[in-house]
Amino acid sequence: MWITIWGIVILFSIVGFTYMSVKVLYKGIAELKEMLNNLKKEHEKSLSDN
Amino acid sequence: MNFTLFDIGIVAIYIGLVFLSGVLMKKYVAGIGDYLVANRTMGFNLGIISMMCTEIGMITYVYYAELGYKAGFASLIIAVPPMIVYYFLGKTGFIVKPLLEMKIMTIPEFFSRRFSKGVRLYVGILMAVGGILNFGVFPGVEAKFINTISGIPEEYVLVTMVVLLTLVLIYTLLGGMVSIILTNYIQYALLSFGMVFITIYGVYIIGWDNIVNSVTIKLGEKGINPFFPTLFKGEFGIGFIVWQILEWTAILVAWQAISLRLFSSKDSKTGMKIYRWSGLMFLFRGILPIFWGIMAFAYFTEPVDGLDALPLLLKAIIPTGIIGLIFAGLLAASMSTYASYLLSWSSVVSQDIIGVTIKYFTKKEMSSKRQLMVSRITVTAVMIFIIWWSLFHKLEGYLYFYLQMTGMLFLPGALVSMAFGVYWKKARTAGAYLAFTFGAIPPLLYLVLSEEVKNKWASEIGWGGFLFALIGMLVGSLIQNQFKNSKNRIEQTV
Repeated sequence: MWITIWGIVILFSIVGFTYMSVKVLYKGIAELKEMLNNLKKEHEKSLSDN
Repeated sequence: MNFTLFDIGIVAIYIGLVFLSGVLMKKYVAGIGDYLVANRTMGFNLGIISMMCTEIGMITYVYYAELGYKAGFASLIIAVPPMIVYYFLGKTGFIVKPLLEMKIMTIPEFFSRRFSKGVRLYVGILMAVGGILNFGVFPGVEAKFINTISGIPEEYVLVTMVVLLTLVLIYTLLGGMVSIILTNYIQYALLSFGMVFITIYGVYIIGWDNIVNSVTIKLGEKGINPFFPTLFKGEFGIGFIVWQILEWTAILVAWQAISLRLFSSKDSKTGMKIYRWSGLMFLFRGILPIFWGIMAFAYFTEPVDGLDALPLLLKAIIPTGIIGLIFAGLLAASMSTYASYLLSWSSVVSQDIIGVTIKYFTKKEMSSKRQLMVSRITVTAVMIFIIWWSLFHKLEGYLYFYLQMTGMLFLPGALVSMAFGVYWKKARTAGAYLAFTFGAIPPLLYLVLSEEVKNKWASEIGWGGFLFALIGMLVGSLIQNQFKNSKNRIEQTV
């Protein structure tokens, strides 16, 4: 019984990890751009305030 | 399989790319907010990537694989508690939501606001000691890993580690959290490929039936059933599960490297979503390397040292070219962990020890620019210490347990003080002091006792730390409340 459980857990982990990794990497590109743009705007704003 | 020039080339290009990205981020760092928490702009997907990269290093794979190698399939249960705790915290917001709403940058800052500056300083010291002792074994373990896979002679491994840490130091010093988030992205791309490849290729080469039969024949029921012989007596039985759930709850609310990611989130909704999904990723993070250790157990006919099982397996089965990519991924994993941990522990030292002390004597806060300078100096000092500690400290027992126990020098006190600080109005400063002090006693005992005692009583020492911390909080708070009530009564009489 335990071997069957561990086999399912391991298979689920391989499939799940692959799927999640591809998803976060793909969507992370847009977030990186947004983060850098926001930081740039903040600094430009603080420079103009000074 | 040999580590060839082609593999070295792949590694060199990859490290160069990561380093360059980090250096280019310097222009985005103006003040301490940008440096420590990227001015709170990190989104969900970057949060997941960053969380995984921080908490995966070569050492992660080594200690999980050691467990798999020594305890077989039964040790896979270890990957389950973090998943449960992450989901619970992300769903309920227990402690994490109030922390996010407070907009703090470090954990000790919470203690300053809720209890007193004295508690913040005390916590800062305990966290720095525990965290840096924990971090201190990383270079030694990983140097051995690099040596085994790459074939670099042992006398050059120290040089290799110093070069790598220096590269990490440069891009951490310059860009802080912003560098880390970008380089994490690049590193995760290679890391995730490596993890999937090792697992699938390993099963293809060794064979699932062969793996199962090896464990069943050599380890018996103990290697398959985590609760063997009974739920209460098993090495990974109920005592162990309780310890792990308490420990992971403490880690996820009070471990500086993880909480820095929480505090870097755009808002509390994003932070909690990151936690819910990180649970699943942390399950995978444990299951896959533990399984590699089990594969190593099946593959090697002669016994090997538990900590060498994984690098020897990778060296034996992964083809040339691919081993370069995998090695670059593993190296990247370590570099991102070093960057994050250097930043985390140095921020505790600079903000919560040095910053608090300077404010006490000068009666004013350091400027953001000065805080930045102090942070960078402490990062360098921590780096020097961990190289020294790695050279002189000798490991005993499971590496995983050493890492958990060093963390436990402050984690039981932190969890209890934070939980009661947030949810119990009568929690007092004296309670916090005693929670931290009592909670540190069991793990201190673990670190000094013999290997035999360590292995036999690890779970009891584990959950015992949390019980002691709870007693300290209740006793300290009740005494202080009693004292306060008596004082009020006397004043009223007068």
